[in-house]
Amino acid sequence: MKHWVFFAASFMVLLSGCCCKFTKKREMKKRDEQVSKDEKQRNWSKIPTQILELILSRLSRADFYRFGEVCTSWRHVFKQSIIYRSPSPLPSMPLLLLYRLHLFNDIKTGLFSLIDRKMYFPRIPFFQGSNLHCLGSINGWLIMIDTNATRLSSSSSNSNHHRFPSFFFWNPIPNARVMLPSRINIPYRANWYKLFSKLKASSGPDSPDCLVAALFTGQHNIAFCRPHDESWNIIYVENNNPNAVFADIELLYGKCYVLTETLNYRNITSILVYDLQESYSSSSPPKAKVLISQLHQQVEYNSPNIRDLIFQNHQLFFYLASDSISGILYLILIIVDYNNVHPIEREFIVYKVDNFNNVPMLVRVMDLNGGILFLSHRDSKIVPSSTLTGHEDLIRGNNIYYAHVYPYTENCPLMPRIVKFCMTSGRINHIPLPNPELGSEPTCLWFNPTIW
Amino acid sequence: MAEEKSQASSSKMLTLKASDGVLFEVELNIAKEMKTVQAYIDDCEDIETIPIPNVLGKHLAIVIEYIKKTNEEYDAEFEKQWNMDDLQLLLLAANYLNISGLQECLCKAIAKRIENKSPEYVRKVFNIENDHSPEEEAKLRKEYKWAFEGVDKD
Repeated sequence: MKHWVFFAASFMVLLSGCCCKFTKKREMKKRDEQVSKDEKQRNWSKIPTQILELILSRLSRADFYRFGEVCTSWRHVFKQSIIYRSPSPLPSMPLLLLYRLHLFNDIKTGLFSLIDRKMYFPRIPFFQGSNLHCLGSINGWLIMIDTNATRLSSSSSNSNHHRFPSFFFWNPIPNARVMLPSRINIPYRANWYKLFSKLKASSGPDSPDCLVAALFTGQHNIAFCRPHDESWNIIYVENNNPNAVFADIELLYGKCYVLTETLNYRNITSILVYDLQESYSSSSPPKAKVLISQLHQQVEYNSPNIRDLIFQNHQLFFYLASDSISGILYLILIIVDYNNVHPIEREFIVYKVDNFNNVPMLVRVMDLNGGILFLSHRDSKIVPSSTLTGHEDLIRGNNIYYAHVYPYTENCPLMPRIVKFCMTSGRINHIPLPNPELGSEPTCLWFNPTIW
Repeated sequence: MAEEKSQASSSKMLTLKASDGVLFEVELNIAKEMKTVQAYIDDCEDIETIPIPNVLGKHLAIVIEYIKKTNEEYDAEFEKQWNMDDLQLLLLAANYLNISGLQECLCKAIAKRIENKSPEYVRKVFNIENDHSPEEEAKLRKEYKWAFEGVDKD
């Protein structure tokens, strides 16, 4: 009896084992068939749009564009994101926009990328013709002046008094323009763009609080406006001190800060502040308030060797910069050594404007609150390092990327120089540009293109 | 019976049934991370077994483990274990089940695989056919050439 039970039991086990094997084989065959149906690997072109959009939102600007090139379904999602302005790519490092006038009046525009240290020449004619000049940039916009566009007022005949250039914000990627007022009550001149040192905007033109300030070259006044104004407002200084020249401007929270210097020895003297926003609400022209005076003394107090350096053939360059997130106004001093073949930046000293017992003063700082400063003659912008993605050396905070075109000398051709200054270590590294062609009066500024 | 009841009141268990019939018993708070499941529970309160028709047992197991263990370190290592097919199925599962943390983790992983790579390389890795017409492709290249900065060698 026992044997029979045992035999029956083992037979059942064997049978069930065979059955298992049988079903397993059948399952495996099914799976194989399925696999061969789907091809060996799953195809990513057909995944849901929602997922593709999530992926897009995690790509840098360049990857964002390349995404559109992969296949037609990915391109569709890419195009939709441009139309609906969402999702947007991750913020990227600005490019250095270089445009120069060739000897034969041919404008060439180059974009230099810090990421791969290559120069790109966009097919889009950034600056077609010699009448377009770039005087500043904010977010994805370039602030332009077109000296050819003339507007003759109704009452004019041949009078030059009524010819004005046109000013506008320009986003070269979607080729969008936002006009600024062109009426500006100054006598007509042939080289309008030389009249202005820079144009500074508080935000892009899509923001309702957008303010634009213009710094006149070597003068002691500024002009300001908003995109929908009828004309620019020019601020004329009351007590005309011919020795006080406006060297730089910066906008922060509706106020315009002005760095003044003496005409001859280029000693910085003070920081003035104009409340532009308040002037709009009160409809009266803004009056200058002195924020800090005796600026040079404050700088010398921090770096007593400056006076010696000037005599040793060094030059001092001063720039204003602001961080709209932290609300800090910075003054940057760059000491350049002219004793060699090429000018060499020797030292960067950064101050912030701080309040001690309600008195604004310059305080030397060793960091930018984690920000990265992109500096050029035409523009300064501080980008929080936490918003950037990329190689950690590149996006590390408290660094200054400075691009400058030094005036032509016999030994120093007109090539822009880029240096990177690390505030933490004090190290200055020169970033070489790949052989750009020479030209007269090249201009460089940091530009962060956006898709819309 | 009393024991079961007290167990139920402290941590209610829910059964999830994958598309291939595999059953998973999970705690309520784990299941709630899947917003799709949460919606199901909201609609029919007394439900004990929830069908997940779009996800294989293999992937549901991985998803459940992710929810239980997720933290920064786990996330960083998580995506490295899977091949492209599994990544896609996990991503589709996370999307269907509406688990935002897992979706983000996986999308970040995909973005990393795309970062600084040429479109040709991306097509290879993701098994995508280039269905652009040659004219379209040439036009795209010209339009945004400056955007093709910093591409790694394939």
